[in-house]
Amino acid sequence: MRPVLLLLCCLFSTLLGMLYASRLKSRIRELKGLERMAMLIRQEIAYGRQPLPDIFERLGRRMEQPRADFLHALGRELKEHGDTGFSEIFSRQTDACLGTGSLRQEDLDSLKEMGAYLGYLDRDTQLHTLDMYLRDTEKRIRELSEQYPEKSRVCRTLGAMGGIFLAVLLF
Amino acid sequence: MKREDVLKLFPVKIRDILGRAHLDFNRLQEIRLRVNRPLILLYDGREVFLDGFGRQWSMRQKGYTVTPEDIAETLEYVSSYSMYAYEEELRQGYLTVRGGHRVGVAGRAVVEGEKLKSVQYISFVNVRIAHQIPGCADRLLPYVADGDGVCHTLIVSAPRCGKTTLLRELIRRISDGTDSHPGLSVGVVDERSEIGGCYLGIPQNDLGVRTDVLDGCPKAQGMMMLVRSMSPAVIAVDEIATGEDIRAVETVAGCGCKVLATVHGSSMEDVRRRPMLEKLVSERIFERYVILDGAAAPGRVREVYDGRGTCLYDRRGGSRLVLAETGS
Repeated sequence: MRPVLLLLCCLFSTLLGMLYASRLKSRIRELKGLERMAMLIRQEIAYGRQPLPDIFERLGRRMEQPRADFLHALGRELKEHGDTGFSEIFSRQTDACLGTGSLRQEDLDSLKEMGAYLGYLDRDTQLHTLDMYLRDTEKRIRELSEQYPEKSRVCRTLGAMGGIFLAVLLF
Repeated sequence: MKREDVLKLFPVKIRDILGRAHLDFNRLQEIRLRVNRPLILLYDGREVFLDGFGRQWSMRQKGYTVTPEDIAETLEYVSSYSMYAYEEELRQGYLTVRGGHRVGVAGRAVVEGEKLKSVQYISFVNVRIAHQIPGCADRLLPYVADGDGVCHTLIVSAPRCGKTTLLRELIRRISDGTDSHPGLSVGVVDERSEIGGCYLGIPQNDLGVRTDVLDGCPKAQGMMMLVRSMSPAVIAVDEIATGEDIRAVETVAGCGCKVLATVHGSSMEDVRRRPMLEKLVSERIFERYVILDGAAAPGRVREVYDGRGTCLYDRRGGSRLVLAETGS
């Protein structure tokens, strides 16, 4: 019985390490999705001159999940003209639709910061805000991608080693 | 008209006041917001002040005082949180929203060189409610569309006397057709989005099944574009004013398209007196001139003339040609 438990312990710890590594990869993928979304919003503002709720709803039909849900919910709530401002709605929908994935709080905060300035003032300000967000996101993706091979190897190794260590302790 | 479309333009507080006032939105003409001034409605042709509970008063002291936050929030809703998308419209002082309603704004103008760049510190908002009055052109139609087809027609009236509403209804009837006239394709150049009340390119007013609308395009340029691209039988434009517009009307009339147009003026004599329009009269470009009564009776036709200046109808001299009351 004990060898089976020790084996399971090793296995579980290794899987935990692999899961952590895959979350790192998933975070990069989701950031790339956000980058693509911001780029499309930028193009719509630059060339289409459409109001934001219409842009969000139209892009929501083209994006993949969870960004499709985010854009749909955002467009729908903005069109309701409730009692809350744009940035508040943007922030709430960011947490509700994107907060459950692999994105970290700093990623969500960066997106919310962009949302705080959207819709405000003239077209140049919108484009400038989006450009800043795109630059920041691109930089973060580059850093994470560079770090990924090393970090994922560390995660997997630590997982396996941790499992063996625990097994030794228990033995 | 959708009551919700109008209410959604305002902050919750004002929405609540308007909702409590039990207004018939078909009789509501304007809602005026001025910072630190009372909320004023133009309702059924008279001014009404609403207090915080939606009660109607004729004394301004009783009116709900509009705050700067009310104006800011209204602008957010009117522009769908996207002021950048309406920069061009704001430069002209108004924008058209869903439902075809027109929102006029005033504040501090930002001028660069001699060109108006934008309007800042917007403190005055005027929401003009769009109305469509089906049937208001029924009795005029036989004068404009005879057995041979549609006549080149110029509607002449002072501002706010119903000429745009009348033109809109003429367009719809000519486009849809009647028992005596088959429907014709109509091209509308709607420079100020007043005829179709387009929102995101979609007309919010019914202009008929055979109507194409070129929205937000300068009239002279738009008329030529439509002739080339959509081959309309009739072209309609609102408020021709410049020499360029007049030249475009002449060109379009020469292309075989019929022209429906409106112009500011008070009488046939007034039209003849104005140098640019005089040319159109002397060259007999237009085959019908429809003169509307003053603001006291919006939408009422006073006289109809043919191209030679012969009076075909005079309300004062014969049977009355009364159209439904309109506001342009």
